[in-house]
Amino acid sequence: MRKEEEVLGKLRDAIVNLDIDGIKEACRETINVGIPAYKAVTDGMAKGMEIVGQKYENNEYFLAELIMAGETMKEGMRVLEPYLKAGDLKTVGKVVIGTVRGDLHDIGKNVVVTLLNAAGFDVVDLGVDVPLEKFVEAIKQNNPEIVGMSALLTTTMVEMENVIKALKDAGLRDKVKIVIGGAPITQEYAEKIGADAAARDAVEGVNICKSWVMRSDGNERA
Amino acid sequence: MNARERFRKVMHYEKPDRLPFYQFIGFWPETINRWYGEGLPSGMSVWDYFGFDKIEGIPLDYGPIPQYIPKTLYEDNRYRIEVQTNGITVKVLKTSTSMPGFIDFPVKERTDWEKIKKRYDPRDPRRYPKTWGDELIEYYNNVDHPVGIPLGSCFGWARDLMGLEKLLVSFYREPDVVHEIMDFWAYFTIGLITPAVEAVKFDYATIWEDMAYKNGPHISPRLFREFMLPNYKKVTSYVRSKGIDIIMVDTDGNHEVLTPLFLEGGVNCLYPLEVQAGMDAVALRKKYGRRLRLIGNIDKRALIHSKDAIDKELNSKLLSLVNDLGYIPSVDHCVPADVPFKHFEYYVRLIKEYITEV
Repeated sequence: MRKEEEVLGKLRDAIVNLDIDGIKEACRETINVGIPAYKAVTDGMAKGMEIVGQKYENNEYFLAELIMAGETMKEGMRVLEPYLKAGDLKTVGKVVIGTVRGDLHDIGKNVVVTLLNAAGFDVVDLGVDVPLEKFVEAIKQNNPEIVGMSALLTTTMVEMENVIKALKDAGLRDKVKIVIGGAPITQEYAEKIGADAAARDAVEGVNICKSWVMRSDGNERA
Repeated sequence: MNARERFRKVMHYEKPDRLPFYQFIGFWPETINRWYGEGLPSGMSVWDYFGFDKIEGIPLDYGPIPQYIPKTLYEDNRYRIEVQTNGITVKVLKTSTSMPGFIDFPVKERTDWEKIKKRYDPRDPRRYPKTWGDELIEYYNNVDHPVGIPLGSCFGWARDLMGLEKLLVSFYREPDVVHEIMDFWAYFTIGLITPAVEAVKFDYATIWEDMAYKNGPHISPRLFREFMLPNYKKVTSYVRSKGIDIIMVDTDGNHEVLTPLFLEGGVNCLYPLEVQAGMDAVALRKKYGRRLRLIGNIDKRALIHSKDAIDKELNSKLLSLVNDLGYIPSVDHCVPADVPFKHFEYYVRLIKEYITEV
């Protein structure tokens, strides 16, 4: 048990310290000592990503560190993936996400996708310049709990309201929670257009999504 | 008092006849197109219509020479994917001129950088205007409006070479390459501007960075200190030695935690101070006093919203800043296309009242 904690601690620390070379060795060690790969993800690397998120919120880490932590986790996943069995990693929820029509900006959305994956969400990324019909179709097909929309400009954020109207028309609005984000987005705007929340940044966005899939006893649903 | 004298006085905290009247970052093309249908006389320049003061910069070419051959790689009714002359492959929406999507960048590994460096000879005469010579020098030295010199970009240039995500990861994975690129910027910039700064008495110099977003800068103060600060110091100390004492940085987003480092790096003016990112010119003035000149910080969203919102915005900023001097009012980025012409007219009318109350 002590060895397991030690090895998982190494994984967590490699993520927090952005040690992209060290993570591979730490992942191999995890496998060698017989820790299941899924546990290395959920109790090692994902815990590290949570700490990275906290450091970002505290202004100790910035966008560079957030992206680097995501890269470090991806590197670790490359080592662990062959050892993961289908169904090992239970998803905590499903999110359909995209940058709205008229907007080609994707860096913020991509960071959110990386962090959602790290937190155990199943993410359907619709990409950029997503027409409202595509949001509606993806929600019908994938049945997500959450929809995320991103926009960079005041001129493109208005499309978010159109998507929400389209979801109402399709009878889907009450089946999903909606979080929006991007440079011009405020909580007031979210309220005005009928979204459930505005995320100040990627970390807050993921925390909002997590809070929506928590059970009343504080555990994630999976 | 002409525009040049006015600019110099305001930036040196001396009382001018009035504050300068500028829109520093300009307008999105869609905004102007919209306004032609709302009252801006057809074909008339927005700059002339509203009577903005004049300002200009010497057009130095900081790009690759030879340029990359522009190519269209894909096109349909909605998009075009093209290689630009700077080597960046972008996806552009044909229906608007807003920010493109970035697909590919010239530097993927060190060997790319080694090759590309050859396109950046600072002493290539093609980097100067074709009219460069005694007549142009005399014009710049005597024209009645301010003349500035661009200093390129340290972070922004590295980003244009590598792409933002690759650059941010490279600070950790390939720090030597990032150091080389940023060190090269200082060498390249000093080499490029030397003939100009030796001949012309410029009123200001400006570095564009765009290295922040609404939640803060893309990199930490620690990375800025290690990679950028030494090069900022090299460039700004050289520029100051040539008599240019107003050195600006243009960066969007919230760069508050980097502000002390910009100052330490020899910068003394920041714009456009985006309000939606949390930048506050009044607070910056309180914190940094006269060490920091400020341009912008008029919330573009107020101009979208209503005349009341414009009143409130201008009252909250200008009552103190106008009389403090060292400040030039301007909208905090390009004026977006959701600003009605009537609102901008109203904004201009109020601004003109404020700037004469100095």
